[in-house]
Amino acid sequence: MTQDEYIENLHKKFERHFNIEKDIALFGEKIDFHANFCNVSGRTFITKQDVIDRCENYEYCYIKKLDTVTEAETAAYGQFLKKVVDECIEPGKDHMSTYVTGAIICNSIDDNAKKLIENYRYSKAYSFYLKGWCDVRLLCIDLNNNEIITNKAGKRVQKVYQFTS
Amino acid sequence: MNSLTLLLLGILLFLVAYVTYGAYLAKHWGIDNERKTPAHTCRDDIDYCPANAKVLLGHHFSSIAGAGPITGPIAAAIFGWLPVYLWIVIGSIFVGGVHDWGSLFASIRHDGKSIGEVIRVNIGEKGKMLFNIFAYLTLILVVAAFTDICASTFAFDPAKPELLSGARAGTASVLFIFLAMAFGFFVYRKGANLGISSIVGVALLFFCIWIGYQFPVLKLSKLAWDVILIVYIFAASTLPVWFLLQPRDYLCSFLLYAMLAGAVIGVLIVRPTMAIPASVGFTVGEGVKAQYLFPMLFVTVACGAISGFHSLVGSGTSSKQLNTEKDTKLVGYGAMLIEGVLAIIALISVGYVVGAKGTPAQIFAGGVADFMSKFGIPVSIGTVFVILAFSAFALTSLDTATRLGRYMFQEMATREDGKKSIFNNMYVATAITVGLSALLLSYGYQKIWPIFGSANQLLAGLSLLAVSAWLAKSGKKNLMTVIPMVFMFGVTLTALVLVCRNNFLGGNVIIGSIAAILFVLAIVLIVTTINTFFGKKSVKKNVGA
Repeated sequence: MTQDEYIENLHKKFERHFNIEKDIALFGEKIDFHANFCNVSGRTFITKQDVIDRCENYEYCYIKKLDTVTEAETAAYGQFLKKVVDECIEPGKDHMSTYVTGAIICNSIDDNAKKLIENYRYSKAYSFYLKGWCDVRLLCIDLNNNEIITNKAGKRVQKVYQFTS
Repeated sequence: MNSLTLLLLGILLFLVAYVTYGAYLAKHWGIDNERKTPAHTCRDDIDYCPANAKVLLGHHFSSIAGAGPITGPIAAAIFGWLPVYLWIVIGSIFVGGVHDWGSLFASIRHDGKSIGEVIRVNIGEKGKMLFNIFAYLTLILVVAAFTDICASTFAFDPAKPELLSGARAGTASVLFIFLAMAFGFFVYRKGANLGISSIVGVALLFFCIWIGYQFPVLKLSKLAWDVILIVYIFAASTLPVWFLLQPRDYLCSFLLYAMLAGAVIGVLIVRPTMAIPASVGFTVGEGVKAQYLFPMLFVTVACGAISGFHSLVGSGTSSKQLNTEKDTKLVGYGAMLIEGVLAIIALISVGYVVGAKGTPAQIFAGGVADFMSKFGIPVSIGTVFVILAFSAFALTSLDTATRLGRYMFQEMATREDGKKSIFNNMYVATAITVGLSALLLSYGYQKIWPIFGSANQLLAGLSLLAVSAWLAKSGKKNLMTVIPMVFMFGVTLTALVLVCRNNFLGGNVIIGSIAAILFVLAIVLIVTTINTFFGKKSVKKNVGA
């Protein structure tokens, strides 16, 4: 499977619930596929505008194509995801969770990069969790070896990125 | 009379009504199974999404059931068990069930908008403000009534140190709150498996009951519990909903199922005889304390027979997830009839013990715990368990009512130019709402409940009016909604006059004044709503089939 075919498959999976953009640039980083999701749930009184309580859940996915993933590139991408969290996430009083998922689609990955991904951690609690939290998931999809490497937070979405034809 | 007969007869009548009267209503309302519901026509897989009717029934039932169907029948038992029983059965079948089903049906014929929304969108700014004031006063009464019931139930009397059920349940309830927060943290934040977490959570829930039973450390006075509960509802209604409310409600649903199962099995084994009189006549008490069967019975038993809030408060999901129009019967009518069964069980628990005393929670717990003791659960542990379950529902009602009250206060405080003041602040609005309720606590739930019931039933009358008007404009029969509507308006207005008179004569100026204000607002609201739906200008643009 080529990287473009893989992204096309992801597009089909995501398009029902996510807003999708392709080929964007953020903080100087070129992103091949960007998807964002927002779910607002809660109870209302009489009209839809009269909200008794609500909570908001978000997910932002940044997917990038690389031929060979090195330790340096992984570290840089990890820094980019941290910057997204620090500068783009502004939780309001109804915010519950935000997941920022960074995925690298590659043809090969070196061992140091794998270790870096597996040990990568970044999460934030806002106002002692009263305004929810944010977790960063980092994944690398090695197309040649049919392997997906994830950090701890990323394991929950590993299935989403599995290969389908 | 054997209460098992009452329970089985009630269930039988509900089943017969579901099949026969349900079919009659479906035929005359034109329930069309071929017609696509909003879940299909507006499908977005977020709000609008077809769901299994049985799953939806469970969701809808847990949304409408609270401590109300338990409190009402117990408080109304002063009239004897027969009139209460008849009102629960007849009311659920011909009034409450019709109200809930009609509202749900009208909702799906209006793209999933609730019937309350249909009313409010049509009654204009003036009507909306009146409605807000009316509902706000009602909510203050709800908060005061349930806070008083919970505090009185948990209170420890040093003069009777042997009575520990309140302290035990209070201790268990506080532990339960922390358990719920921990449960939410592990499931939401740590991603713990829901199935395993639920098993562990329920096990720990029963562990909390055991701890509370063994170590009832919170031996506090009613005043102390009043303060604790006021602080709690302030916090619970301002905290994020997933932080405490959602996990607590989730764990609480297991309590409900266990309590219902225990009560039904207990009644089947014990077959208790109703020990209180079947009827005590039309009038109970004398002078300003006199209670008349009409209208007080019909406002005291509110949620167990009909409740206006059923059509107004909700997650907004039921009507958007109905797969077919046929499912409205199971979800709308069926859920109300199941609530009727819960009300009958509450009545049996109070009717089982002659001269039962205490709060509705204590009476209900005493009866159900006694039933459960017949299959091996010690009465004292069963009592703590049922009080905990009751208080958990009451706390949920408190939380929701406070959130609603806060929201309405904020909305009323918003100026016409849209500018915000300090009264729009969430914490200020909550503090004022909770503070006003605290002022009423000294009156006790016995004086507050009838006014709450009247206001709640009036909301039901308004919903029935909207459904009746919509059916009439659609060329359908509406006698089945018009008769309950006229009855409910008659009941609520008479009740408010009596509550007003009794409280002024008894020197309870604040309660009397609230009743007087509610009466005037009720008249204005009824006239406004009738003009809206039957006025010359509005009809065609407002109501569609």
